[in-house]
Amino acid sequence: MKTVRQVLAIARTEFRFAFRRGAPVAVITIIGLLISAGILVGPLTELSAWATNAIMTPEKIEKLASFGLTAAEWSIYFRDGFSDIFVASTMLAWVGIFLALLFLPIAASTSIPADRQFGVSELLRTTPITGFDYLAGKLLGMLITVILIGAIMLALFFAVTELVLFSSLHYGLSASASLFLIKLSFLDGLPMLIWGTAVGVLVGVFFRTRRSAIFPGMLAGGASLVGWAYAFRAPAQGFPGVLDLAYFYLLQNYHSSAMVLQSRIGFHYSIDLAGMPSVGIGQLAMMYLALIALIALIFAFTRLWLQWKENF
Amino acid sequence: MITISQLTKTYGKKVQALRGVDLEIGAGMFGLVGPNGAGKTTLMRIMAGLLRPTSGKVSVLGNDVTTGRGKKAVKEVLGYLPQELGLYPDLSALEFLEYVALLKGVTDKVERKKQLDETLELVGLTQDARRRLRTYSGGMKRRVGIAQALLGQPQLLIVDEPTSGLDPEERVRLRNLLAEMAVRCTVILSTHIVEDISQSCSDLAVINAGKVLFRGDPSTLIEQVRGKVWTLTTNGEKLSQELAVVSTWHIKDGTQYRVIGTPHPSAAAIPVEPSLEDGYLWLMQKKQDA
Repeated sequence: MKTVRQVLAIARTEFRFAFRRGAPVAVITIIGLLISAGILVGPLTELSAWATNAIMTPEKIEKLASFGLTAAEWSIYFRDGFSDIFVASTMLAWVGIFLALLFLPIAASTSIPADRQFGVSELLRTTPITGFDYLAGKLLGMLITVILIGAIMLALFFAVTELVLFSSLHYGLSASASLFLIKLSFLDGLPMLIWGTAVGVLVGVFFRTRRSAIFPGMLAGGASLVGWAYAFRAPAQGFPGVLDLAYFYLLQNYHSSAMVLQSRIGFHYSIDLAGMPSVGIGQLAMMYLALIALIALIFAFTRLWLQWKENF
Repeated sequence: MITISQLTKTYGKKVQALRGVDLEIGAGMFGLVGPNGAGKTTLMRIMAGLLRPTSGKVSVLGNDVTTGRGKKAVKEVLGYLPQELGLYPDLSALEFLEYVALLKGVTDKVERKKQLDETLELVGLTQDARRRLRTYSGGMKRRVGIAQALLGQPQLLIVDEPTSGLDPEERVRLRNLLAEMAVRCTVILSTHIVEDISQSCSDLAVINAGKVLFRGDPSTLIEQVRGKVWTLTTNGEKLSQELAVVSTWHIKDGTQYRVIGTPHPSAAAIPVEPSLEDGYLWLMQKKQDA
């Protein structure tokens, strides 16, 4: 119990630092928002044009009839169909947000060198905590920071899209689209952030100053993402922003009846995955296990390094 | 309480910081004095479990600090003030001390608050406790360092050059504080300022070039130099090179020196009462001559 309290104390202090040395957090949040806003501008304009389809004219009713649909059927399907298109259109913005967030864990590489640079490291090593507790606390503190900022940015993303859709299209976000993006954030975004944070924090163990840790931290963070994208790549390419297995798995499960409708009426946006190789929950579980094992391995290595170099 | 036997520490292949140190340190206040680079900090860091010795044994309160378990056991009862104290500038003194208290295992909230209030009061920082550490003066930072060392009610307090950078008033205050602490726990005070030792330690060791030159109480060291300390007044003549000059005053009739050694019989040398500083310098001089 005492050890848990000690780890939590380190985590809490790390969390405090993230906000008190607030510049990197603010800069990264702004970058993330700008990227995602930029990516969103195009699709939302297109969505605006697409939404005019909702207004029924005699010509449209006649055209729908040629597909074997009534205006009533169309209005039922419209919401789901729209949410599919919304999801397809905003995928890149979501990816933009999470890629921007990944700069946070890269910035996390300065967390341990900061202790050495400020000269606090020696003091901490005279307390009864072990190197394991220290690393675990640092990692946990940075993870809490990253997850909190991720949650804020995701909430902003939803608020902005909802606001834009509601005010300009008089059409709010559907529950299915929101659910999809929330699931995506939990099953794909969160593991990606944990991975990046772990690599960032643990790489910092090898450096004595914050300045010396930034570039290697960025390199390691970048390499870890490329490694992720390669090792867990989706079985089929060509979908905007679909980076990996988890995203593909969710998209596959999102394959709603509305998409059949879309393909029948020949809309531009389609996330129809029929005929593509499928990804099962087992593959997803393997992906998470592999990540946990890798993080544990890096953690163990850095722990040994601390023990060897600093008798910690 | 602390037993050190045949302790050596070598950095790299060439730098021998400690060369077979043997020491027994009991309760009370123990002074470790020596010039810069003598090996004091290395010895302190080994005792605190921060450094692994190259060879030899160190037992603190019956725990072998070279083993993982022993090291942890020592850290449970240790208060340590490093020579180069670092603090987080983004935290207030109170936040920093609370952090250290938690790391030292003071997890009970009421007990932690009590200890924080007491130590802040003891070092005179109660009024400024909520200010960020970046706004503190050097002396105030040093006091925060002392406060963090006192948290967790340590049985062993190791303080490395605690008075460096402090003004005279703060030095006296700190010495008194350490003397008070020595009633409750063992205090090891490392310094190159002999005055700090003479004012507070009943037991001391002089260390130089990684070896213990003297081990005993201050009065024994003073006795060793009795009859060898003089004051000499000259009118510009050079002093014999065999004499170690402790201090120099320019007075109306010439220059007056306090020296250690055997002055020339013709010189107007007046014997004076030796101090601990004289004893220390004489020891260093002897070592240099050898």
